Amino acid sequence: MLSIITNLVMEYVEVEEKDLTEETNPVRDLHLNSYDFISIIGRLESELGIDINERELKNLETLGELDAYIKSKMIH
Amino acid sequence: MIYLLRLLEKEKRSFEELKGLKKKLISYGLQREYGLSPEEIEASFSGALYLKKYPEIHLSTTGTKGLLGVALSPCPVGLDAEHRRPGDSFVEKKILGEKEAFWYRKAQDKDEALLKYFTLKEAYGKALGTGLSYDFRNTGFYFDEKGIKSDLKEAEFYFLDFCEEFIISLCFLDRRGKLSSEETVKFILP
Repeated sequence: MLSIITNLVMEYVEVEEKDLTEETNPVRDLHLNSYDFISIIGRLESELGIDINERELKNLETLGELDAYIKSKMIH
Repeated sequence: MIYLLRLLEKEKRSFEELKGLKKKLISYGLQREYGLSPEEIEASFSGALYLKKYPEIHLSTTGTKGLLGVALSPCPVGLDAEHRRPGDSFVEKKILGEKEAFWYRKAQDKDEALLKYFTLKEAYGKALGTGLSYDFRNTGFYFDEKGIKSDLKEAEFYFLDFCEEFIISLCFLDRRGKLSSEETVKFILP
């Protein structure tokens, strides 16, 4: 799942795959802005067939945390 | 008042550098409007800047490719800027309510319209203090050459006519009596 997220992120910011880890903070480390973040969330919803509530993402800091959140959505 | 800083360098800046520049903008505004020193600015763990000792001074910051902005105000304020870019169908689906989607489909410049909807909603979220963690599809906006209308009675919205490259939205909550209409959208480039 993390690879799906990192591949998407690489379409929005200039970064190499080796630099994206579970600890990467998309805002602090990649300068990903909220417009791009919403676009990525929309694409994840579309590609994975899940609904993501932005309010639940408020406290997520890293790609690893986003990965865990999405996995939990796919189980339910 | 709104303070904008145009970044012309092509060199990529680090998060800390950008935060430092925002801090300088805030310092400039604090000194200019309130006579306060930069030491009053504090940063949260997530990097957000705020004025702990002066809850009566409201602060909002924004950053997009090529521009940094800061708003200082006596009432809750939200400032959001985005550089122009092509529309994004995923953003469209995520942020637009039913009526907005209707007006959006009729817009002559859809790329610009989407950025306007987005920055209005983000500016409102910043003024609320929630960012985009609110039900932004349920906030209805309509805008044309006469101005911006919304179903958020306590909020006032403006587009800042700064330069063609950026769409910038500003939101004030509970502005009456705290900020004159002359001061509302005044901006300055330090």
